[in-house]
Amino acid sequence: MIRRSFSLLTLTLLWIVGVSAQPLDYFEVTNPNFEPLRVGLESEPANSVEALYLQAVLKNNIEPSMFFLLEASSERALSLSEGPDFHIQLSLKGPARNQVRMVVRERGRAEPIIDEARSRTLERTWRSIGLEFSEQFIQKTLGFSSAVRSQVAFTAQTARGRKNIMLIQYDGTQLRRFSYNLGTNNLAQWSFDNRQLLYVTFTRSSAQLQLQPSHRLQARILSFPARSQPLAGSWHPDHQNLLITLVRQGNSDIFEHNLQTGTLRPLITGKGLEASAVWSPDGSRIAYVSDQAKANEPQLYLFDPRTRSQERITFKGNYNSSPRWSPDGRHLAYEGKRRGYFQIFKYDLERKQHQQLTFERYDTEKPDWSPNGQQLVVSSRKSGVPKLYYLSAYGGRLIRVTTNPPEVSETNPVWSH
Amino acid sequence: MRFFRRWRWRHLCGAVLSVGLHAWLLLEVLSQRGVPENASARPPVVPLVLVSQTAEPPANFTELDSKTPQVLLAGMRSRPSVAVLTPPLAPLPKPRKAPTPPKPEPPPRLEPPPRVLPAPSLQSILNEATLQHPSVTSKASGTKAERREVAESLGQWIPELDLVKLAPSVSKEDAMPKLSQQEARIYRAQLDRFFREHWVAPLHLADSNLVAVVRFWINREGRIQRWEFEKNSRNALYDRSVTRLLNGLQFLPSLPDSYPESAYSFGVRFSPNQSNPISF
Repeated sequence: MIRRSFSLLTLTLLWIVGVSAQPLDYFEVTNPNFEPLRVGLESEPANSVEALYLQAVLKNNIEPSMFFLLEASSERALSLSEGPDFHIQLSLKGPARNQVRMVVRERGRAEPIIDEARSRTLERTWRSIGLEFSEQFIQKTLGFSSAVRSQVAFTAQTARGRKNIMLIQYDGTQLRRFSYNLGTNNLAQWSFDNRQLLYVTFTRSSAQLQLQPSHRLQARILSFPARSQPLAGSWHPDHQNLLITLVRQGNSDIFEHNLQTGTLRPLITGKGLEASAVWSPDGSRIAYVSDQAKANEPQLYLFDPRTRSQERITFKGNYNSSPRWSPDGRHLAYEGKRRGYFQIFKYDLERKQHQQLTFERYDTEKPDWSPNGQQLVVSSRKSGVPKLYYLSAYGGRLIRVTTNPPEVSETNPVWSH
Repeated sequence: MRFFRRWRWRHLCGAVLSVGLHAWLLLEVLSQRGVPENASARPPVVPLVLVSQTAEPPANFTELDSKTPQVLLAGMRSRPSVAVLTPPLAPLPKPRKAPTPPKPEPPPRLEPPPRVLPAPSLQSILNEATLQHPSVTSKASGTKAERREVAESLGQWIPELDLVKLAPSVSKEDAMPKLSQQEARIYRAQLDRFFREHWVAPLHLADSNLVAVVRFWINREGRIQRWEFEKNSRNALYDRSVTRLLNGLQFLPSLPDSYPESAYSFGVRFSPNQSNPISF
């Protein structure tokens, strides 16, 4: 009896001691404010034309990445408490100032993180040197590849003109017309190897799908059975198969078209209207839009061609459309109508979570991913007429892509891979 | 007439009783709420102070010193914004009285002022037991020799029992009591709101799984006595954003009134989980 009571007393004492020596309280702090990193930029000599041009190339290719804000500052600012996070020093040397050295320093580090020199030649222009420096800077500071070599294709239309496919470089330069025909051209799609563009040409009597190499101006027209109109198409990662939306007898379904054999087989058919089908980057799934649940209320679905199973992924809002796969296949960007305005959303396929990226009181639609998956290009009516803007994959501000006149509308942007 | 007399007396008694009860209730409410007399003249001070990285607090630094440059006094905001900072369940820190002229020599206080604990938690009861019986729970107050002595004596009394160590050996600082569950929930909300307001992280890390753990030592009023990284995120930019936040900090939200000790140590996990919209 005495032993039992002592055992009980001992256990009680040990429990008290154990409780009194519990580990610390830990609190979780999340959702900080997010801001771009600040970068100081300086060149020597400061007023030479070459240095100013190089600075402009760097600024136009680093700032659209959405993660940096460039400002003119000296290297000493790095040591200030409110100074920039990085500093870029450009030094032009040589007899004709045809050699440039870029030194990038990071706050808190004594040695430079980049110290590279380039010489300007006939093949290597100042622009190509600026692009190389921009790529190096983004890769070294952020740890992922940049999109400075990519292009964006989009549909442009003047006030009374026809719609045409245009191409523009990442930094908003070298704008050029891509489609040359008498119809209205729209809904371009890059092949996964960036060698071809697929787009739709609408004439007075019909709609045609056109295949055009990205470096040529001659297109090839795809033919389809009678009484069927192609609405849009997208590429399979193998570059040999296309997903085509065909309208037959007032109903649109999704077909798979083989470019080599010319065969056409139905893939997703149903009572509702099916459209905007896009392959995932690994070719295992298809994201598409359908109003099968309720007429005139399109929603996003996933389709597995092997099991022929489908899964609805959007349930909020009565208009969700334009799905686009991220390059790693983990996210889908799409547009959804909320409170009368189209907004951009991102869907995480692993967590099955939707995240709204834009919240403005104007339409922002037609998202597409950058090759590195860190940005989106969208068409937004921020100024009334739809224009192209860059948006980070995490939301935030919009940065204008082109410098077209205000009356030119820019829609349906697609980013090269 | 008889009927009237009988019911009139009853009504009168009822009215008197009701008035008395209401008056007592009103007095009780007013006395417990403790409305500050100068509430309309000056908003209450919440001791959340953010200062620049290099600024050192002056010797005569007070939270009402609004003339100090680069000092943000959250308490100097208008009354509604202060109300937003503190959740409805949190006990508002009582407003400090204006500094009074120094008295000649106040008599030394032999006993600490009685503290009202509205809902004592199990932890606080155990702490009370620790204070009253230091030899029993020598973990918090005793030395190693004393602890060994207790353990050996117990082993002598119960030879067939092996004493099992329930928790790793902790230092005196680690043995600080924890907040109760409700207190921790409220304090966590205050911390989260406070840090979220001032912490700026790089945008490209918004979707990352980085975590930096920082340990704080603060006093009752929330003044930071010390902080250190318990675990880095291994990303220099991310760690720098946390360092930049903490270098300018002197105060955190003050501890709940019911917390019994004068100091508190805790850890904060900084992670950029993004569930709110980004705007800048």
